Amino acid sequence: MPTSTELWHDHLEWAGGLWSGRSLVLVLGLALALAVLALAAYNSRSLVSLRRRAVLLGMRAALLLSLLLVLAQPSWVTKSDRQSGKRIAVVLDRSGSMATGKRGERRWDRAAAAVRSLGERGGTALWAIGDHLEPLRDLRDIARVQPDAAQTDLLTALTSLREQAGQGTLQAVVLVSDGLDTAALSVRNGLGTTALDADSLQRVRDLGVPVHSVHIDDTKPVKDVAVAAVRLSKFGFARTYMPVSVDIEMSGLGDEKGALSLQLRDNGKLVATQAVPIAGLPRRTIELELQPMHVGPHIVQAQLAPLPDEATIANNVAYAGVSVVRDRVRVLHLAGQPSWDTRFLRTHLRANPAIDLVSFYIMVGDGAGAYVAGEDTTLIPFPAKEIFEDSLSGFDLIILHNFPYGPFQLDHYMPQLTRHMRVGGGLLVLGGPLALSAGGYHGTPLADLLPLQLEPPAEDGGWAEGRIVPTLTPLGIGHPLAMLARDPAANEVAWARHRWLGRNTALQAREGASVLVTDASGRALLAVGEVADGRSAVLATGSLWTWAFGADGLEGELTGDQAVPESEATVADARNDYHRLLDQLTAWLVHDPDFDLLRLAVPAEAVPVGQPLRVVATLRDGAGHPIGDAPLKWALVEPGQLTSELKGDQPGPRTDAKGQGSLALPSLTPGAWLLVVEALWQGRPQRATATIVVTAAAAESAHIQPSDRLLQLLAKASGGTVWSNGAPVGPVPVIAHDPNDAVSRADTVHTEVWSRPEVLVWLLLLLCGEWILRRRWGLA
Amino acid sequence: MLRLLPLSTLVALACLASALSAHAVQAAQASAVQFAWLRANAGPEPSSSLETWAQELRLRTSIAMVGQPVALRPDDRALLKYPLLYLSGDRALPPLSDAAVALLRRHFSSGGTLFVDNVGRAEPSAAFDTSLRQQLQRVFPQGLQKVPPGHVVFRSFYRLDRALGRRADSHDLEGLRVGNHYAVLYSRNDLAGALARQSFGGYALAVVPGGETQRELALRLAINLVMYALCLDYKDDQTHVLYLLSRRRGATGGQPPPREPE
Repeated sequence: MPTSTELWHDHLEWAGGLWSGRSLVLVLGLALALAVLALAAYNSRSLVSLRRRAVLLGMRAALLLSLLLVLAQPSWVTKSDRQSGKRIAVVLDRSGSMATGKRGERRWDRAAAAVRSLGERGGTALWAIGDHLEPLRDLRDIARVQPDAAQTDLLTALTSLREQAGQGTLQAVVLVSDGLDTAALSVRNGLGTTALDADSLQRVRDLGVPVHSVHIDDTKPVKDVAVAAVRLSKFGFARTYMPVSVDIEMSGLGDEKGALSLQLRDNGKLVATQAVPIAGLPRRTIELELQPMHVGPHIVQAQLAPLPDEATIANNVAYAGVSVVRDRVRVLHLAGQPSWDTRFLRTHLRANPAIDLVSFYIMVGDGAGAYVAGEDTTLIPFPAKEIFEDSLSGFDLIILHNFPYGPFQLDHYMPQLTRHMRVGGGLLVLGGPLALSAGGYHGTPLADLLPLQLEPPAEDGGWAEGRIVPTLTPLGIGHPLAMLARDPAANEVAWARHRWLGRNTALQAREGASVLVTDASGRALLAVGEVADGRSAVLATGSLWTWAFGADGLEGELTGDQAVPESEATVADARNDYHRLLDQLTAWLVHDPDFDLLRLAVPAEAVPVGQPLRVVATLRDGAGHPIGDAPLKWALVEPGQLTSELKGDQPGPRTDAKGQGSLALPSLTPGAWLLVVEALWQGRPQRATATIVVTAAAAESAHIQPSDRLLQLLAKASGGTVWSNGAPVGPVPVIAHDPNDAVSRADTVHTEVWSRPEVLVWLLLLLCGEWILRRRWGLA
Repeated sequence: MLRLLPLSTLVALACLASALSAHAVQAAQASAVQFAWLRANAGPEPSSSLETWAQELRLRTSIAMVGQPVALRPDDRALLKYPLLYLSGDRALPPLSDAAVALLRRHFSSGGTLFVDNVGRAEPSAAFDTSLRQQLQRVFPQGLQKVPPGHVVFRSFYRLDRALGRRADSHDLEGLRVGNHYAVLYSRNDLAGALARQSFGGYALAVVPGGETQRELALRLAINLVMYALCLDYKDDQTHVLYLLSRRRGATGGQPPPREPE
């Protein structure tokens, strides 16, 4: 059957006999016919009725004319001419959604049949589209490809088609697809759109040919439940509930009863489960709440439990990334006794509007006895259970301030405190005569959480009075926690003006921890470390308050130490240093990203699958100066699988003079990932983490039910047609013939008219009819 | 025994003891609390009262107190090492030097606290009262104001409804606010008199009109004053501590109970 691609010319051709160009034969034939007709008229003169004579002569004339036509051997000739090089591009959708259905009845099977039908008509060029456009050599090449592409990008297919097929080589485009675009076309033209957006329209018009489609629909809706989207704010506050909207779609469930199980996970941890009744609207939005507990990147996952015989379970899960910041830092301040150190720390913490403070001080000594009995005091029992069992997870930072281990059953609550640390909590131990080894920490689980190794208290009981000159270690000089000035040199000067009075003893640096400040003898005074996801710090003195009160700068004048001159300016500096050091300690302990040396710049939006992804890592020291020539390594980790040790890491580039290194990530498979990047600074790993959500794969299968909506929009924009479930019976409309185009003969079909049996029957009918009439009317 | 020792030895021992005492005072200062008495020539030396005060604090609370107070002139820059100052008087307070005013202003601004005690024997000394107000206005012009009865200083350790001393001429405290707290707290009831002891240990002065009950109340006020200096409005928070804890557990609704005025 002639179909589409050619320019068709139909005409009647006299192939031989009387019309073969020989006029003599023609004249003789006509003369003979006239003679026969005249003879017939003569023979019928006996008839009285003129009407009967006319009938007989008419039949004889018709017979003679028919004979003459048969002798001329007419043929109906169909000639097709083809504009040179122009084809109809048949584009087969090979995306994953085309695999839906039972074997042999898949959308893919029907689509392939439609393509074969079109291809067999000739004049077509075959292509396949999934992640990218690729040519198919011929119809047999269809068997080579499978419906496994993770994306359907129809718009890119049309653009690529124009580029790869060549300008002016197309007559029309026929998309054979279920219409489930997962890329720009669907994003820009959502539900309710009645016309293509401007950019898509321009791209379609640039093709200059009609874009037809063969829409591959399902004979009946497939059984499927899908999480179409997880919607929540891109930013959230730690420990603050935030709404999460989960769009789910159900199809092909018929009259099934029961409920679907919808689970919500935060970084892989199950945080909510909800039963969704099957009965009801097929598209629904489920409202849930999420309380992200920790600052940083979070991957939120919504998942529907798969149903038996479900068409695909790839769309049962969807992801979204959220960056969790802190609205207020929740601090629990536990002090072993009221002191100037607690007093000034409290003033500092209360003055910070970003800090939500809960304090508890031990106010009564062992020997108070009857002096504090009864209702005369405002004392309340230490709510150890309420704090450690019920409320600990609600705090970002716990400060043990000169707090003894033994009297308050800390041992009983250490599992809670350890868990708090392991999941990202902060712990700050401020020293004093009741803390650390002097407070009975040695050999306890609490000691294991600290960055300093505790030894049994010596003769001094674990506490030594005396003036101490805090000294920055090489690591502390440029460490962001210990920066009291903008650059390392000024930082050393700033520290040199301070003195501390009294220190905890029996401390040794723990392997892997960072000792930032020591005394003149190298004994650790300020150290920080990490415990799983948590962070801890120890400041082994109880006299930090002297910085805040301004007494610190007096040391020089009062003791004759002229190296520490006292002035209003130095006192103000000392106060500022107090606040700065505590602010920095607090921020670092609660994972404030501003205190991360390594930072990542990743795309804010979800990344379509297959799209190249480039992430820039920036490494700066505590003073903000870029750190160049530092090797980077990175790994992609599934949510909930992040460990302190980077596993499966790959080498990255070295940072440049700006401290930056660009990581080119491979094509990611569908889902959500934590990108972990590490760099070495001062011999210590610096880590940054970011979420990367690859949504395209989820989108490919999120809307599993076919839809011709986008195909109709393309057709409407280009003057095309959408056929359902098979190739059109008639020709595919193409652009008008351009006479300037080169034309080549494609095909010629001769159909002999004279040799058809109907002609023989006609002649016999005429002969028999005339003979019968002549006999009845009495003629020979 | 002391008479048997040579004078030079006595002098040497005295110097050593003094040095050790000074070192002990200075060394203990970082983690302990110590009174600094402002020697302003406005009244008797309150050493025994301050020692009793420190002793009661050690006995009744967990505060690490240094037993011996340190005496400093108001213009001694060393007072900037002692956040807790004490000033008493029973006669007119000599005008403070400009240096002393500046030092006190800096002390209060830095977070220090001054307890002022009117130790007039029969009644509050009007001369001390008047001169104190004049001098404090040089430090901070807003001057003294009455401390509200419900203020946290009356709840910082003991529950008190009055501010009593050896006398009960006034049930109120007055204070000088700097920032969010009282940097100066003034009692007109001779608090030190209620705490003063004889060398043999007994109380030196009778407490009127309430006797020993009033003395106990005076002691409790003394405890509260130091607790307030060290803890500020901590007790206001602690009133709500269980609410705050429950809020951490995720109960986000509701409003916190109203805070009592500081």
